[in-house]
Amino acid sequence: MADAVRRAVWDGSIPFKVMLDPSECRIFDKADPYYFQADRVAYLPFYLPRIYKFFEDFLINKAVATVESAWFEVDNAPLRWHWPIGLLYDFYTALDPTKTPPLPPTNHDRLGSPPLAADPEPGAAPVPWTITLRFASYPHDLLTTLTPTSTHDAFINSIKEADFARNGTAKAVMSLSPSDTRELFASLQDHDYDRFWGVTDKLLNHSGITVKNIPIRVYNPETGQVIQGSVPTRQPGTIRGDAQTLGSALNSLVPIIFPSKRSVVLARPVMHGIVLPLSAPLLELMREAMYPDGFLHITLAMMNDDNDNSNSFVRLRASEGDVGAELPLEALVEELEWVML
Amino acid sequence: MSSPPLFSTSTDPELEPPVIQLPLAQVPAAPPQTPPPAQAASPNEPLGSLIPVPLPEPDSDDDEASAPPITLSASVVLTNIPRDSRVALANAFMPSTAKVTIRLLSIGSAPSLKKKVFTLTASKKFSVVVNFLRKNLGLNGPPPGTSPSNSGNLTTQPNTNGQSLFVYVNSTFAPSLDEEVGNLYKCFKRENELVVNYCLTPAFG
Repeated sequence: MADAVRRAVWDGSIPFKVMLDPSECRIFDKADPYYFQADRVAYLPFYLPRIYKFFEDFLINKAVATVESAWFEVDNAPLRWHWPIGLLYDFYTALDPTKTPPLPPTNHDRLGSPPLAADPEPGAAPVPWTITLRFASYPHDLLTTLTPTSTHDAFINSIKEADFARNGTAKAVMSLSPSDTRELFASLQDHDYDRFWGVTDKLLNHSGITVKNIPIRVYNPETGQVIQGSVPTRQPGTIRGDAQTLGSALNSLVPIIFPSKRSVVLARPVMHGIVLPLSAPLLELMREAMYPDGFLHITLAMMNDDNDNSNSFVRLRASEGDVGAELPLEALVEELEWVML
Repeated sequence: MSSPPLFSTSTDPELEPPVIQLPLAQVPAAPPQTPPPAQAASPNEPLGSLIPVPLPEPDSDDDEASAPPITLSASVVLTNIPRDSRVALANAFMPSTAKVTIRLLSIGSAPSLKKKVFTLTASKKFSVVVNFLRKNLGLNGPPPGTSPSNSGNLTTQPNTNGQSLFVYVNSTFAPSLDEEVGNLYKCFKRENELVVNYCLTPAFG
């Protein structure tokens, strides 16, 4: 099927378990959790009304704890309204999908490591993903205010930003008919694949415009920082104008983490819950696997030195009693290039 | 529950609390003075004492305060990574201290500013620009105290008596308030300036 990847991306979903913040609950033993399955490409505000309805009767004071003051939290981190749910999950769990299939508990018995305490298995996928519904002390410094139109506005503006990044102008979006523009968001809300891609295909194949750049965001789960790039579809500096691959794009955006264009060294790029191959042609990746807002939202899963048996030079070094740590990084990168080529 | 060594970063003499707040970003930066990130841990405290950062001024530290907290699951996973990749990560994502140039242009009935070109630290959020505009255009609605209106604040809605302000890049799109101006500059600059347009009524669809 020609659109198999698009379909798979569109159909991706995550099971959620919502707990009500105990301080909001009038029942001592706390309210029942609310379970739901969320589309990865959707946004949390789509699900808020039904979640609120479920917890409404448990609330101490409905007049104060209104839908407008609601927000979600995971481990003290407020969940952004305007990030797609798939990105939230990949970012806040920082999972390495190559390791997420349920690991045997013996996995961490490597030599010399202390037995792990009651910590949850690192690397095990938290399913369902447990988030907390809160009302008090809205984190205004971290979260945008949720209004009836804010999710729509953020989404449409992201589409414009992506269009501008792709073409150097937002002509493609601007020339959509009003009904098509409405359809972009409405079809996402209704989770209607055909309607959404019917309009989005017009954006990606606008007559007279060839895509020049590919909008991409790389997220560092450890510091929360984001690197955004508009990567040319062809690799600059190559004689034949080689098509950009994910590897060459990451190599140009974050060369220290991706010193090689062909092999992962320090981190794996993750999107839609899977590890992306560095050899993936970037233009096709965008056409087939971008988030509905037009961006490739890629999170980094840092590679552990345990049970990772690919032949990364760094890990070889690290296992030789920290010799690698003393090397200046530049030297290491040079050596890495040798190993890789 | 967890023994401290699990979370130690070994390059860092002081042990951080389990919720890791930008420890890496600080590795290459020089002095490990007691940093402000603790602020982010208590978002319910209105940061009333912090002075909003006007564009032309040197940075304050409220960037750390507005950096999102990191989940425990993320930090646990990452405690295992080899030191090399920690260093790499820290370097690659080091908050840029470089300044970017921003040109603020009014549209329609919005008043223009006397001075239109400013510089701003690249790691600042777009909300700093918006709040600077609100302040300089006298659009700050709620009197100080009723609602937090600091530079790190991501609230655009003027709520009560404030006027609306709509801010765009390249007369095209309104970036999210938590986008970094450095990223916007890198992707959308024109002649080495990030062109920001603002108006009092919605424009550009």
